[in-house]
Amino acid sequence: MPIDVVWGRVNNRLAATALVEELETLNIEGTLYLGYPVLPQAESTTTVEALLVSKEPGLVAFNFPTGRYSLDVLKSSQDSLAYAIEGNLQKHEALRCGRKLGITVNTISFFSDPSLLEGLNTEDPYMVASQGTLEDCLDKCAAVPDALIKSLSAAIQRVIMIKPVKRRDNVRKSDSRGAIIKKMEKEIANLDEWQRKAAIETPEGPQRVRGLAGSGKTVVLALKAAYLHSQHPEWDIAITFYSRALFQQFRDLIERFSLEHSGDKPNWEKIRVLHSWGAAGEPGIYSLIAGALNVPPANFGNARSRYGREKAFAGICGELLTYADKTPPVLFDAVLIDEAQDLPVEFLRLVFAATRDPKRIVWAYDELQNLSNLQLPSVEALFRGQVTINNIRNAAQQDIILPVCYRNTPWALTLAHALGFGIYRKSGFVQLFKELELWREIGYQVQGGRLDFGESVSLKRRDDSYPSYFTELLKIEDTILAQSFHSEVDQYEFLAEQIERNIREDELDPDDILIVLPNPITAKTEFLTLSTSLSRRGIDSHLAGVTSSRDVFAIPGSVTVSQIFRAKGNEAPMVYVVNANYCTNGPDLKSLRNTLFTAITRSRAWVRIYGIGAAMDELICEIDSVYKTDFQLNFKIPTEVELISIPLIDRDKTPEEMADIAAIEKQLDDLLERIENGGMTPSLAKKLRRLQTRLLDYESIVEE
Amino acid sequence: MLAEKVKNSIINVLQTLYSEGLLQFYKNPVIYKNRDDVLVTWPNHVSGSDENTNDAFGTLAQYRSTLIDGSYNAILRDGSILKVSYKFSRNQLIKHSLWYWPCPLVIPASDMRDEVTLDAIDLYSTQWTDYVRFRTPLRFDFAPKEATPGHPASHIHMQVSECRIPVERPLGFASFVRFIFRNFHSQDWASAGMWDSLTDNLDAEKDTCLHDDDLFIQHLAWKKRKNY
Repeated sequence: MPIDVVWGRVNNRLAATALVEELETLNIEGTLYLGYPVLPQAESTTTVEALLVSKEPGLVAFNFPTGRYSLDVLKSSQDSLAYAIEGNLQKHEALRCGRKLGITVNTISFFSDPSLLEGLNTEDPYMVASQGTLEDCLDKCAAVPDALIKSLSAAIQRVIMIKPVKRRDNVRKSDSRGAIIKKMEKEIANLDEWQRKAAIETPEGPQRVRGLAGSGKTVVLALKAAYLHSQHPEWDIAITFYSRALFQQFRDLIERFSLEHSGDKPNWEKIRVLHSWGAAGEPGIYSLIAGALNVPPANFGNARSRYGREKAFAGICGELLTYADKTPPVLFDAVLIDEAQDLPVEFLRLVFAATRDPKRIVWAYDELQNLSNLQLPSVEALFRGQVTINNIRNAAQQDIILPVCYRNTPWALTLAHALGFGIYRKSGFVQLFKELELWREIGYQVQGGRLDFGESVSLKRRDDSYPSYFTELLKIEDTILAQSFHSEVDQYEFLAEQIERNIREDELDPDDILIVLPNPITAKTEFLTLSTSLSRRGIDSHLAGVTSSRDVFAIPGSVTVSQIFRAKGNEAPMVYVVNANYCTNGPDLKSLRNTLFTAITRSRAWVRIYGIGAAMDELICEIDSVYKTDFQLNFKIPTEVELISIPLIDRDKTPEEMADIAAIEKQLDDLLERIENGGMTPSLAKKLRRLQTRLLDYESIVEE
Repeated sequence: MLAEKVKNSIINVLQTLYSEGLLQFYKNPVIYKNRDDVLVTWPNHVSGSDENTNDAFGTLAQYRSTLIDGSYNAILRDGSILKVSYKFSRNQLIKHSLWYWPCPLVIPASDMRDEVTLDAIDLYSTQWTDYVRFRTPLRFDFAPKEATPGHPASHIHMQVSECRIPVERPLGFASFVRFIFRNFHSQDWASAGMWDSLTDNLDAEKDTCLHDDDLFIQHLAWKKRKNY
């Protein structure tokens, strides 16, 4: 395996590149951190210019002197480097050997210009090297003992508890669901190598971070913000997002990371956690920019009355953009944007205008949260041709994909895709990707056949697209269960029995359980019946976000019931999707199937799909097919011509638009009835002929 | 058991109101038992909590915390809140507390329907000068053990927590609901036709509990109809 390089803030690019090339030539295995980590000391912070973590040659810290120095100066700088690293590692019990650190910190001063080394006599353990002489130095380095290498990597990777893990003191059995979740939560608390890399790599310009929901984007952005802040305390950094619930999460994470990185609390004047819009008395990115432009910021009521509910934010951002384009209000040195898929393009453009060159904008978004491959326009379109992103060798990456999905088991994800697309639906696909490469990007690999139009293909989740603890801790056949019932109450009674068991025997907490109601219109009424079955058994439940704030989702001691729109962005170990039959067939099937996709992907470990009647039986057939194919998606990809007849993924219709369409269809029915009863008039006939022309146009487009 | 009967009658009234479209949402009452005492009350009832103290009576904070905690029985379409609790000892009613909290803001119906209630409140609070309505919460209390001169066994609080207008007898949930809708939601009162069918199971409602002293000051009194 070649050396893995993590590009942080690099001051001496020449030396860094030379070192990377040299290590590559020498076939060294391990990870080289450039400009990382920052080590807290009593008074100041030390950045290690390069840190090699490997079994052999061992742990090596490099500095990059740029001038001709005496040995004494080099010795002193290597001493303080070694001292800082040792001090940091000594905090980790696992790295101690007796009362001493069990690892030697080797230090090398690496010169990009070999001539600077001339006449320099060295003495052990101080080493100096340049390209061509590094190998000799590495040979002299002390390796890391086998027993310690794993702990060393963990310590260097700053194994951080990402969120306060629930204590779960009630877990007594070793194999209960509660125990399994406890183990999983411990594992999730560690950053993986991609997340770490994404957090540290800082290009001189914009950066895009993509990944499936649950791949750790929020944590990466918080860590990145803390890292940038500690590297550049003078910068004005903003971190922004769509859901208000993220505000506190970001504050907590950044504070935690800052303490770890620099031993100091963040300076909240310079690193600001800001909602995208801003509320009364609470500034947001939009309201700050409006302030800087001397334009009164619009509030929600005002924006909605002018642009409608769906377009409210886009509308007012667009208004502001016309002013911002004329006089860019430069407010920030770096802006990090989470949940970019939920924010309007106009907002991203505003951020672009408000960020200093070289436009350090980092935007993270969920790949395919809605099975839609049109989540965000291309980078070029997004920033009106002013931005391109490229991944260049030996430089910080501008386009980062987080490949591991921690939220969902590979089985639930496969099932969600199978049902969402209608892969095994008798009457054919519901929707499909137009760009086939997306399948690979979201973590599938081709098991058989070919990923090409008109070809049969067999797809399976890639082994590295999910953490190994899923296979270690869960039984596949227990992760997904589906059942059909005769009546709604039958279903709720069975559901309540299962939940009672989850709480009493499986050692899950009530707030580990989420019940999803797919039909938003009937959700309140369904909840009232459903909660009767739960309260009969002494189980408390609440319907999320009905009367209290939409930011409050789970409540300790209570089972969360949620209609589908409220469930977005939330997750739970055990998810029950009830009345799933609602999603089998119907008008606007695409959005019904997206609902199933969203509901299933709320589950962190187990998902149960219940419903009633023949429609549920039909859905169960589709679910069985996924089981029978051993969680593969086997299908014939339509030809490009055939694809046109499938409603290819585009944006979902809003409830208002749906209501409009329903109203128009009703009027058409009325009209037909009237004509059939002899109500045709000359003027009506004229209008109908116009309608017919439109219809023919439409049909010819579809045929093409 | 009387407590159980009262709880069931409350559920029946709530279900009826909901099916008539008069509620946004409701929560069934719950029962807490403590030795001889049985309390039928709204979910998440924390007695003596800050929101229930007299200083908080009528504050916007009190209204909001009720929504946040989910400690209510019903949210009316306009965001007004109903919450009731009845306490029994040895099968006798010994206390009740019946709240009507009118929504402090008058919010367009479509927003009340589409938004989460609390979000709608917070949204319109930003322009409160246009939307706020100064309306007092009402609370019918019944507490015969605490009765003293000037503190009638049954009374109604309004405007300030020290206000205690004598009330002739305790109220069942159906009577309370009829009182609220007849007086404060007259359109709903006129459009729904099921008011007479709402029933209580509260025997205590038969007897007057006014003290002679109370009869000499302004008070609420009414004649009882059978099963009404």
